[in-house]
Amino acid sequence: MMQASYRPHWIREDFVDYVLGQVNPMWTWQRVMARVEAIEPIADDMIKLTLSANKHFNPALIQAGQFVMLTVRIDGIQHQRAYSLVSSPDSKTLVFGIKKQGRVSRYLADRAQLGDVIEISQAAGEFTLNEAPAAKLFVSAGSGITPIVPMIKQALSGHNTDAVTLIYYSRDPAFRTELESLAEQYPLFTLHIIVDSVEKPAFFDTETLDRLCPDAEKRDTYVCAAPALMKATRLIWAERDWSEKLKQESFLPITIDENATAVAVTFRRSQRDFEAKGNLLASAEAAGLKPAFGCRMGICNTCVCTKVSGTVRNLATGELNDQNNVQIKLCVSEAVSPVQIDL
Amino acid sequence: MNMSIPAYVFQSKSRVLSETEKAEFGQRVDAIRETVMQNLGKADADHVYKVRNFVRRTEIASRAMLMFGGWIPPIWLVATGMLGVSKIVENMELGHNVMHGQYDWLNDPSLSGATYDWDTICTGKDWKYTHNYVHHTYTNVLGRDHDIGYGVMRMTRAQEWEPRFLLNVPMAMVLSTGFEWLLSLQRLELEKVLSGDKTLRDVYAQSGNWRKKALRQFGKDYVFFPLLAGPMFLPVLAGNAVANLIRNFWSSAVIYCGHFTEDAEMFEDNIENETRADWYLRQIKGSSNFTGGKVIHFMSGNLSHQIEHHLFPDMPANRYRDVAPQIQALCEEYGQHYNKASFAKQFGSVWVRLAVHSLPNNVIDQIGHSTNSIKQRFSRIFSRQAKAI
Repeated sequence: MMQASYRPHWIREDFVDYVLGQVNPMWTWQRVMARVEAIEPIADDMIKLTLSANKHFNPALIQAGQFVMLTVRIDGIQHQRAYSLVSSPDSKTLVFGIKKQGRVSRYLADRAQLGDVIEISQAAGEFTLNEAPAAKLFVSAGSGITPIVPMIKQALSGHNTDAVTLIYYSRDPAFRTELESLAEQYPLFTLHIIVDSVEKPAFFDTETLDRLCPDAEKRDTYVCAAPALMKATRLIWAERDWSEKLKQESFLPITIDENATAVAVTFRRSQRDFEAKGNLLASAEAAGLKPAFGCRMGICNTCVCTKVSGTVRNLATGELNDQNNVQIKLCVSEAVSPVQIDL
Repeated sequence: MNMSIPAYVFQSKSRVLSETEKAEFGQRVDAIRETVMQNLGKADADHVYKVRNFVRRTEIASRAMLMFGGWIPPIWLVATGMLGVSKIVENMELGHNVMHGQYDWLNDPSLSGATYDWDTICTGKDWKYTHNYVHHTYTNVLGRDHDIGYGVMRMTRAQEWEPRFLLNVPMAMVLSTGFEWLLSLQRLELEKVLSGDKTLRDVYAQSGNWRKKALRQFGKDYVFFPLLAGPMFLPVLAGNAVANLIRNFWSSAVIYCGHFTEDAEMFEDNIENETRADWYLRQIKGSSNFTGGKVIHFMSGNLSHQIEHHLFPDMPANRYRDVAPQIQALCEEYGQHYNKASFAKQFGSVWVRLAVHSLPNNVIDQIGHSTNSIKQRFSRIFSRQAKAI
């Protein structure tokens, strides 16, 4: 019998928050809440969302490049997604650049109202500037620009002597004026905005890299973009043996991979079998199952469950896990052999 | 159970199905489930949030009334009754259902089956073991499902008679009174101490979680709120105690009606050879529903649809009402007994069953014979009179 881990709820937090919320929805015992202060369109299919957080949010923890998880209730169901902060760590409000591409971002853009109060997390994430001074190259595309904006501002701030270059692909570049005025203000900042179109998409290759940033070898490189560009940079940096200097952040929603081989998965408690193709969470959902989920990117632990047997690959790290009875996150796992899960 | 059980004790009102029929039946049940589970959404979310707000508001209102007006008898009475109702709804429609994971798909951590802990002594963790796992998997299987008479009552002829079962009926009343204590202690298997399989020291060592939760529950209802009320200490204390009793009586009545009714079948252990369809059939034969209006379904956490709950423990309970007619029709089509009657009838049959099985089988049979012959004699007299008229 498990003894150690049980702790009764001496006081029910949701009850306390309910009572406080009757007075002011921003009042909670511990949860971080934020009020929607502004929703403005900034580019093609992108909005700028401004929030002000309650006293449980700790701005001192923010590092440029990090994200905050926003939780919204859509048709009764809670959805949580991570969005990179565009605002600098010292800003009074939290600003996000959100592309309307998923359920949550569409909700925030189209259905959220000024004054709505939503739950958010503290700032988190590994995609931040290295502490050691170094010249920097940023590569981004589309809404991947959002974490890059505060990172560039931080890189240029203070007594900076390092060169900073940004290569930014977009069909309708958000934050263009802001970036251009930074480039005017700081001679060390070189800005390359490449405006492409659906008909004529631009690709990142070694030729582009060597032309726009000939000294990339010496730089710390930060990439935030869609999977294709992420992969392209990863391959080039690996080929040139610079992988250690590359930092990436991915932000796209998880999907099932139709090209992956189908693997049998059993949810033991609900006694359901289905075939998974790639991502386990997406596959389970495609099979009509409804496992709990949160951020869908391996951060929040909402979808953690016990893998009873079988081998899975962690999609974020590539690590294989063949241990029995271990905790896995469905949203970043892919079945490699038939898998049994305690759900 | 080391004695062999004669076949007649497992008599059933349901037809024996062929393997093909069984498989078909199972698929039909699955299909009913699928249709509902594919269509979960806002209505189900609204339901559970409404239930939770009902629990919160009634608790706040009743505790406030006890605290400020507890010395006025009518107010005390209303407040205590309302607190009892609040606890009932929290335990059944909210806690029990949430802990089955019925609302996990809402992704709301405060309604997650894994972490929810309800307003009763039994810890959420122990409950998920004794109830969600043991009782729901081994429903009504002799020797495996501890909920068959909770180890202290004799529910079927297949259980060997012992003199202690003469107390079946008073025992059931005692269990009802202290129902939350009974449920909380189930995991500790105290009957093993009587049989010598366990020492009191073992029990103490295993009771850490139980002690923590019991302290929390006791501290809340019998120390914290009474002290908070200051001069109203006694009315609040009494109100909380009576509210807990109301909850105990009602929840035990609902549970008894779910599996202890006249036609609820008990089974031999054949788990290893069961298919999913067999499992469905066992859940249907071993459970019983009671009918009633909206209020009775709400107050029983929809466990009035015990059959549907046992078929689909993780389906949001607010859906059972819609599913029940489909299951009943399916049962009729396949000649399976669908055990359903009014609450009064089911509850009455529980006590008859308890009384009957408090006696050894041969005594039951003798009484059965003599009542039968009395009945026959009467019917003969009646028919003669009928002819005469």
